[in-house]
Amino acid sequence: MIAKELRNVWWMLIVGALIFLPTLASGPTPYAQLVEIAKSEPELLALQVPSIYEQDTKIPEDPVIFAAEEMALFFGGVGKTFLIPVAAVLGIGLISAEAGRDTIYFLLSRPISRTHVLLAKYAAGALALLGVAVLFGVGLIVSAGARGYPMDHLNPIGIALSILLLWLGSLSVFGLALALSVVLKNLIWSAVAILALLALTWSLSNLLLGFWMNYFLDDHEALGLSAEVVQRAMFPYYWSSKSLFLGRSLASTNFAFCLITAVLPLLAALWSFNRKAY
Amino acid sequence: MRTDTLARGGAAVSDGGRAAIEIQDLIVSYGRRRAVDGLSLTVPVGSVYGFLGPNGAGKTTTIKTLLGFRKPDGGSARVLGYDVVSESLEVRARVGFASEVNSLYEGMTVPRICRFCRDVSRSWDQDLVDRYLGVFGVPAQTKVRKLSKGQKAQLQLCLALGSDPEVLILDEPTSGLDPVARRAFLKVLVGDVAAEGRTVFFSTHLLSDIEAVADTVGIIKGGKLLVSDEIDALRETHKVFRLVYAETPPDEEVRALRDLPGVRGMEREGRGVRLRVRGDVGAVERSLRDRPYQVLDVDTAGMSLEDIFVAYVEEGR
Repeated sequence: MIAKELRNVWWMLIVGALIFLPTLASGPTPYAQLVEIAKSEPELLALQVPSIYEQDTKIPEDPVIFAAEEMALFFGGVGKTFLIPVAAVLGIGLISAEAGRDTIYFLLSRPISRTHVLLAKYAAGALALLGVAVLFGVGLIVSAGARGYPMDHLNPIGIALSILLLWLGSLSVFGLALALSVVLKNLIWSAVAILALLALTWSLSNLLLGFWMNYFLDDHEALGLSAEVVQRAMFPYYWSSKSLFLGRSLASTNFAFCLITAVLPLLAALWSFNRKAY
Repeated sequence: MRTDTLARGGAAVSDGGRAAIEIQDLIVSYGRRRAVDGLSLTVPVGSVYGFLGPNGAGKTTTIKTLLGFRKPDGGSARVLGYDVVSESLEVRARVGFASEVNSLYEGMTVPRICRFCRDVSRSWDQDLVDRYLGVFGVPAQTKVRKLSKGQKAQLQLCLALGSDPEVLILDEPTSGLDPVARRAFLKVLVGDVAAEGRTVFFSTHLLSDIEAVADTVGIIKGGKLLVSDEIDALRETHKVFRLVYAETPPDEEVRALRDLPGVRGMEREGRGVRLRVRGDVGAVERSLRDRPYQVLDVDTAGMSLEDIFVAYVEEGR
């Protein structure tokens, strides 16, 4: 069962690689450029850091440390942006495509439980997603190496855990798409629903952030708010952690959050699938 | 837990009183519409049961419920003694299924889809599958999408048989097949599958298929069972009488004929009257020989399955 599902999703690795390659080829900022900036205009380094998003960031004077932070930010920002659509595409077709092509009758007439069917599909999709995340992480290191980044300051365990965290976070979108593909029989409707849901979540988060920035930026300390509080409302916030990437912490809160948001849609999908009439 | 069930209703149950399929007061709804409305029927072990009904009668919904695709809104159904809701896995382990719609994975080759079925079945007899693929002449290495519609239906039957099922459930399996493919399909169904003692439950609206294959038939309409009996018994209890009077019979005679027990339909044909009778045909025949008006001839004819089917469906309107 899993073998069949893996055969259905392996192409996603190629799609993932094709999506990531141009992005990795064009960034992060070449190390020589960072060194040059650090020497001539160190204040410009501050512009490299999106300070509104990373209040805790202290601008490092050492370009080696700054380069590692640059990689961490690049990994988190780009990784989330690309894994969201990949996870959505992987999830939407898992059940609704079977229902749309009537193969669901062939599948469900066999002596295997629906839970088994769904978990096999989930496992295959999650493995493919992990493959895409690993491809991206490895691609980033190769790209950074090619751009002259010093590799000896990178923390392999931190990077591995960051890939794991990014993957775990993306499972929430994958699970949500899977749940929609169970509820909605049609592949197109599933695709529209997940796109609408993601766009809505993204827009609401950005609206909230924009609203806060416009109206409370000057008074946020008085209000007891910080930019990070609003930032955390954006659902992929917990998918990456700069300190984890750099090996400074285990980011247990991020892992816990991502685990919960990964499990909940899966449980919803299982519940729906076991009650769905075909 | 598996329970042996006793026969009820029309069809006798063989094999020590076991029913292959037993449905009791089954209700299945789509929203407010009841697709199956209090259906009760029993399929004897080892029988070839034709489940007959017009489009939208509830045949496919009944089959979907038996296989666990849908849960009933009321009543119960058991296959080989296993409840279709709480013991669905046990049911599906013993049932082979093929449907009218092409539900095969089009991108797989024939060997790959066989391997997939083997992986998700409790037992698998590849030799049996290969034998039937050979009988049908289904190309062994081809991708499913390259097979003709008839070959796909034949492949579905082969795959359904691969797990060596005790019960074969077929949903309009020959619908849309050309006559040659249909004949080959039915030949295997009767010559091999039924001969091996498997129970075959198949839905269709093609009466010729039923007559070619089935020994027992159930007619369903509007989600309700109209009749369930062996075909020979149905033919014995459904007759057409044609009476020719010496003179045109008066209205009171016509009314008297219509009121005879078992008369389900009547048509006047000049001096003749044509009666459609169901039930105790002998009693009707005796009363026809003793009419108050001179009868020149009484002609008795059996009803075709099609006539029986149409009669039930029209009465059910």
